[in-house]
Amino acid sequence: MATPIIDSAVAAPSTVSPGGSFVVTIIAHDPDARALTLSAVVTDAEGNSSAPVSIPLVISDPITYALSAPTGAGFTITARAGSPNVFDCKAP
Amino acid sequence: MGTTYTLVAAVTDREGHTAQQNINVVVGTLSGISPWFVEDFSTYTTTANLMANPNGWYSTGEDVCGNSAPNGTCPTSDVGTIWLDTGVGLNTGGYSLTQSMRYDQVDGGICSGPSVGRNINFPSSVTEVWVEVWLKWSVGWTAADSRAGGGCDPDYKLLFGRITGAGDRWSLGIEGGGGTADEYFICSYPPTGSSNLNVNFTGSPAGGTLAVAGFTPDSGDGWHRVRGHWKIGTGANDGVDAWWFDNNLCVNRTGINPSATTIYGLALGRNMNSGPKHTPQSYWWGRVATWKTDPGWGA
Repeated sequence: MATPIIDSAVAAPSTVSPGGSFVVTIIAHDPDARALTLSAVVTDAEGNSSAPVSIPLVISDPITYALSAPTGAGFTITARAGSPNVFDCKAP
Repeated sequence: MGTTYTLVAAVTDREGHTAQQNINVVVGTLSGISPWFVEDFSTYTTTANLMANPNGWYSTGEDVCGNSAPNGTCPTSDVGTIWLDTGVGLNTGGYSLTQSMRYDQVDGGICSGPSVGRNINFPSSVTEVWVEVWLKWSVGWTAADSRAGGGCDPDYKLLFGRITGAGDRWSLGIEGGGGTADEYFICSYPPTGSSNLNVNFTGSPAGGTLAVAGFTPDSGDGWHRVRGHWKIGTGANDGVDAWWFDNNLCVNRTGINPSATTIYGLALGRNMNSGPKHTPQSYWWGRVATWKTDPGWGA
């Protein structure tokens, strides 16, 4: 299985005052995750076939997100509820 | 201009495969010199918490929450006119804050001098201080007397530098232009007329009040930065009074000799001499910062 890929990881703003707040957003995907469409057809003994029926299929490989700051630097990092790829941060 | 920290973003899939990417964040100040004291309202959880003064920075006995409430009677359960506004925060000039202190100025009651305000006591008294505040006004905000022809002094006392050793104060305010005219941001330079600050001017023009015209808080044009420098000096005509509204110079006096002893704090808002009747309006304090060493503003 493939390693996930980070498309972007951005701090906004990237320059803050001491104690200032900023937001980090991570956009990533996993190459193993894909959406497929299967087609089902049934055929009887006489060779009569049904119309094809499409069956969507999602192969997922969920990813988890994490953000860390240098140990002891004093940052506060809080994962935003409902948006696991967004972190509300506060500078030391 | 600050310290660069590297944060690490990481993502992991179900099989434990991990990818990482570094993010650089610069923590500093606009001037590169850290403030001595900062109130950015980010530490408070509720209005009641704000008013309860958990950091001990405010002289709560002087809190004024409206014309009907005498000094020091802002109840934490019903402050009325002072709020922790979690929906309005400063986000400009490299700062990103999520909260502010909002003053609601209710029915103006023309000429009745309605007041809303709090007072910060510095960690210690100083003889020289640089101050930066960020402010935002509601659309239509005005200090002008709404009656035709006016009748009261259309001033709002915005910010004082509070002093010991004399009975006066340094004052910045907003003066109503009247009608549809712009407001004026005024930097009252103590003293005008009789004063106990014993200011000696060198240079010209002489006088106590200078102004930045074309001040348009009523336009709702977002945050404004007010910066200044007060120095009492040593009594040898080496005091300073210099203030800017955004990048517009309001007053710049050097060689002055105030008779004050120390500067001990700031008054964040006082009374509106005139004001519009029956027109609620608001403004917000986004950040208050002070420096004891020159942050490099040029005065």
